Formats: sequence, C-alpha cells, structure tokens
Amino acid sequence: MTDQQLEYLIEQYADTILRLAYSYLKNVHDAQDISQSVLEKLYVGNQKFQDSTHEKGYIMRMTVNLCKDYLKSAHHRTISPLELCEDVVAPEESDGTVLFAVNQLEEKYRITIYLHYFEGYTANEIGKILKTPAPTIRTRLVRGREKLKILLGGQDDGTIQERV
Amino acid sequence: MEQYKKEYEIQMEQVRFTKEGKENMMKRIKEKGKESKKGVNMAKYAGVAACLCILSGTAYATGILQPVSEIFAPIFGGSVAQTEIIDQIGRPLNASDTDKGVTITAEAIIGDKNNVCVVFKVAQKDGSPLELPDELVNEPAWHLDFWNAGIRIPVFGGSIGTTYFENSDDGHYRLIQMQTYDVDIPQGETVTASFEDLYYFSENGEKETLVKGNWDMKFQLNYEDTSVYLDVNESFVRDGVNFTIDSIQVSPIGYLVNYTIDTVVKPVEFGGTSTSSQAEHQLYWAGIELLFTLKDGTVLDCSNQSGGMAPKEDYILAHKSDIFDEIIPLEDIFSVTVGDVVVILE
Repeated sequence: MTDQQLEYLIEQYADTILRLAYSYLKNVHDAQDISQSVLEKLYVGNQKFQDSTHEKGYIMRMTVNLCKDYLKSAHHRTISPLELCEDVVAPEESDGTVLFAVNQLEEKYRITIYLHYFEGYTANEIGKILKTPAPTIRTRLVRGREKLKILLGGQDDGTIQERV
Repeated sequence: MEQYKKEYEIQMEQVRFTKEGKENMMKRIKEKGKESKKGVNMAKYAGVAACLCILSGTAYATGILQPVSEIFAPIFGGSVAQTEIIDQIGRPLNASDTDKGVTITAEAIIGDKNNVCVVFKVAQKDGSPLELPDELVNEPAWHLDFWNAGIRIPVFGGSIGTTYFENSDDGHYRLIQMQTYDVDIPQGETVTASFEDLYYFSENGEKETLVKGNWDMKFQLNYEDTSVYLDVNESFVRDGVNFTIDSIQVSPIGYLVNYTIDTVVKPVEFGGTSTSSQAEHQLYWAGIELLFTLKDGTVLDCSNQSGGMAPKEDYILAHKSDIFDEIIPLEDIFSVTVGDVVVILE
C-alpha cells in the first residue's frame, strides 16, 4: 500500500475504527492500540477492495476480530503506552449520560447499539460484520434498548419499536 | 429514544483522534511498515497479539541446533560486532511440541535483566515448511497468528510485549515473542510457552482457523545477562517539579530507566483523557527525554517507547524500558541522557 493510500485510510477510517474499538473495549487507549494495529496491517498488506462498502466492511470486521482477540487474551497490557495518550480525545464518562449507560451494557448489546445507532447499519449488515444471524441482532437491539431505558431511568413500556 | 440517540451520537463523535494524533499514527505506521517490509523487527505495538498463558505440557528435543546468531540476525542485525554479541548472550533452545501435524520449536532465546526475546519455528511435523492455503503463499507473514500465544516467566511484576510472525529466508515461518518486564528476570527459571489454534486472515478479512491445536513447552532461561547497572541518584527540576533518576540499566539488547517524581497526583485522574492529565503525562513521562548517544554521534531517542508510571501517596514512580531495534554494543554507547541528567558510560 502506498503512503497516499495510508493517508486516505487514516483520514477516512481512523476515527471509525477508534469508536468501534472503544465500544468494544470501553477504553480509549486500548482502542487506540487497536486502531494502529488495524491500519498497520492494512498498510503492510496488499488488500484490494471492490468498492467503499467492501472496504469499510472489511475494516470493521478486522477491528472486531482484533478487539475479540484483545478481550480473549489472558493478559492485556499491564503498562499503559503513555506516549499514545495525547493522540486521542474522548468525553468524560459521567453518570447519567447516554454514553455512560451504553458502556454499562453487556458487550453484545453495546456493540450492536453502536453499529446500528451510530454507524447506521441494518441488522443484516451487523450480522455480517459480527458473523451473527440477523434475527439474533434484532433481538439484541430490542433487549439492548430495553436495558438502556432502564439504566437511563425511564420505564420500558414496549412502545418503542424500530424497523432494523 | 430519539433524544437519547442524538445525545449518544454527539458523545461518540467526541471519541476521535486529534489532528496531531493522526499525524503521529501515520508516522509510526510508516516507520513500522517500512521496517516490516524490509524484514527487520520494528513492529512493537503492544497488547494485541501478545499474551501470557498458564500452561502445562512437556518439551522434547528434536532436530539440529542452528547458530544463535543466524536465528537472531534478521531481528537484531548481522554485523560482525552484533553477531559476536548475539553468540555471547543468546542461547539455543531445543524444546518443541507437536499437535495436529504441526511442530512448534523454541529455537533460541536472548535477553537481559528486564527484556527477553524468543524465536519459535512453526513447521510441519516432518520438518518441512508450514503448508498454507494458496491465497497465503507469497503473502506477508502477518496473515498468520495464534488465538493465544505467549511465554510465561514466574516473576511478580508488569510486562508488555508483542508476538508476530516473520517469513524466514529458509522458507519457514517463525514467531517472534518479545517481552519487557518492569522487574528483574531471574536467570535459571523455567519459561513456559503455549500456543492455541493457528489462524489466518482470509481475502475477505475473516479469521479462518488453519490448525486447531494446542502446543506447550518449557525451557530454561539461561542467556547471559550483560546488563550494566548505573546507580545514578541525580536530580533535576522541570517546571518546578523535582525528578530523581534512581537507576539506569542498559545492555546491548535494551534498557530500563527508573525515576521518581516528587508530586502528588490523584490516581483517579491519572492516565485520563482530560487536558490536565494529558499535560501531566507530557510533563512527567513523554516530555522526559531518554537519549542514548553513541560514540559515532548517533542519537537514539527512546523518550517515547514503552514504560509507565505508578502514582504513590506523594510521589510517582516512573520507568522507561524497551528492547532496542538492533543490538547496540555497550562500548559504542557514549552517554545516556535522562531529562537534564547526562550519564557518561565508562
């Protein structure tokens, strides 16, 4: 991959990868590690993409895979790579905010909500990224919303339904 | 729900790289990528592939031992001086395990008081190079990885490291494990290594299992530690804060620098993303220079490699440690600079 292509990828996807990894890991610094790792692999590799949809889907799947590896490893980082801290920003998570509430959810709900509500993916598309059947994704979205409402202090009256 | 959605979007929008952050990342990736393409180890991003595992199992001897310098030359350099040092410090290993027709062999180990590097060969049981799907032939070795891979040394302390595959000139795939510890590594201890399920990234970016198996082995930590310990105990003041250099350890492999910062920081604020904590990080860690000046005038800037800070009640313990990108003969190092303190190596 050329340096120009890398510049394009960073401009186009660095924040997307960071947010997706942050949704998974709930830690912006770990998410930054993942972002660099994904982009590094793309830079060293020679992957060709059919179109922008294929490109984004590939990068999203790669990010999810690396996040899963990271969570699965018995030993995460024990020392922060402090040199990286100043390169990313994130809002302070305070009690009562939606972001705080989403981060209280289980990983499977958290990531599904991120992909649907922030990235705008449908259940079918999320299913492909997470390699999970679309009906399961729909269930996760419904249950995730229910749990979120409770966490945010509202009552779930079952009236909120969205076509996904 | 619409209101929540909007708020969520606004907050997630704030999770982003700064402009400088993107530029810094671009620089890091280009440097690492170019070195990686040259086949030299520079890829030391931590925490993703590296892991430590508790394991069991046995190792058995097999094969003919290759000279240590041949094994480490692609990683640490192959000049005459570097070869001599590698042969002096490094030790061949002969531990291996076979599962599902694949044999993993620990070939060699090298290290110092706080750093260790082990090379593993991954091959078919009959000794021929690992068989890969057609789509992976002639592809960079990073397409390969284990679900779990790592070494475990029985020490009480933190560690940071990385594991990655490299294509070797002999057609084999080798896994390189590098680990840096913030405590001394005891010589003579038994190192355990374990690997689980070899996979690769397919053309579609999916992770496909190549060999589902478990490989475990043990070997002795027996390289020659040539670290030089410098009991510095000198101080300097930066922005009104007192920094004391407690110790510097350096070897041809890597280094560990410990220093104390006389300041009070609430742990909860430490390492956060607020402006104040970023400023603290810059003042206490990233902004403290660590330079190795060689006799030929070359300066190795290690200020922003790996390390960490541990806030105590009224002071902070900080350290910088890492493995050099290539073997540096100690006699080639003229001085070590930590902040405003310069230590001449004699």
